[in-house]
Amino acid sequence: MSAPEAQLERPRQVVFDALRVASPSGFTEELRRAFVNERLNLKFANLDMDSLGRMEFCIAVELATGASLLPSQLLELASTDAVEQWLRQALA
Amino acid sequence: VSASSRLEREYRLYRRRIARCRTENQINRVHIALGSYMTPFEVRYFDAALERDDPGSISRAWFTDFMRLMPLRQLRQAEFERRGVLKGLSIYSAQLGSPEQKTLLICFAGNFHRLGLPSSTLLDCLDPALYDVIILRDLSLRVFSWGIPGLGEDFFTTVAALRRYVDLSAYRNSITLGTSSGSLPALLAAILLETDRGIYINGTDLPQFAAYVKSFGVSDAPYAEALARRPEPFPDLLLVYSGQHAEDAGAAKALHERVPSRLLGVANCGTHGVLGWKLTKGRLPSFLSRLLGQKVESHQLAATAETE
Repeated sequence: MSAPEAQLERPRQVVFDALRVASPSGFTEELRRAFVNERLNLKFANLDMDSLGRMEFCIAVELATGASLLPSQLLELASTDAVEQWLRQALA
Repeated sequence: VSASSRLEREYRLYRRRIARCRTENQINRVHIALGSYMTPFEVRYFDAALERDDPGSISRAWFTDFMRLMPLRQLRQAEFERRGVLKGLSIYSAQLGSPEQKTLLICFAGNFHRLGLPSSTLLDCLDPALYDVIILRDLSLRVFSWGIPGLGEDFFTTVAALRRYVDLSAYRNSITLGTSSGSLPALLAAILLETDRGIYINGTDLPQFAAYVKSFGVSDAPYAEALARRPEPFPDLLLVYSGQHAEDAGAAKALHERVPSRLLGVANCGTHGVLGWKLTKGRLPSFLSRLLGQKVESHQLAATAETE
């Protein structure tokens, strides 16, 4: 929770914030640091995120950007880099 | 206002709210929120009302799911009714029996403002004649360190303010229960309120919790002081962890070294959401009986073993 969030570019910040809401136990401090400092590409399968978590993730993304990423789409995207790429296209 | 007219009004409000939703995420958001607050009686009413809907509607799918997630689905002599005192505080009680015949269960919700389950699932397991339930929600997502609006501006004033809403001493016994980020707050509340029992389920150890609290601009010192308190009699503290989840098991075992408590490892469970896992195994009511140390359907004592 103390990772330097302010340094993130917009799509990555949205993903970071959504992960904090959607996977409070899976998105550990260690992963947060690696996500910010090492641009780690996280696989959703490794984040202890259940179906409710995926819905919360999509809701957080929509609230932050207005872009409607659906839980069924999220299952296909599989990783944080893929979501970032999807967001860049959706917001372009 | 009769229960049926109140429910019909709630249902109409729900339909209007859903009609305003423009995206699937908006609809999901409404239902996730409902899942955190509704009683079994409300879920049954909405589910029955939705039978007139298109079988493929999202609303029907959600309420079919809420129904499926209630393991007992028993009609009760009197049903739990929700008193929505504050957004972060709900009191569930039936108009049946008196506090001296009941157990007061004070719950600290974790992720998504729930106890790893919809509120209707938890309440469905409990006999309303024997239990009153309070659910506290950490709306600021700050592990309760910023308190609950309307109740207290930090964790400690929030816990103390609970006495404004409920007389703990009037009850037969009282138990706190917390899951995930609500676990350590539940344990501390058991010590501060001097309840009979405190149940921690897959939470964090004090140092990690203290780091969270400090990152929110809150002093961690009062938390360590509260955990070091030893009121007499000391509550029976039960630390529950998923046996195959290394992080949760490590946290519970480390916390066990800091405070007089009993450990309960759930064998073969590798998921953080242990109550949901028990539900899928068809053993949620019996597991809750073991956690509470008494049956969910009677005051008969239930044993708590070292492993589950």
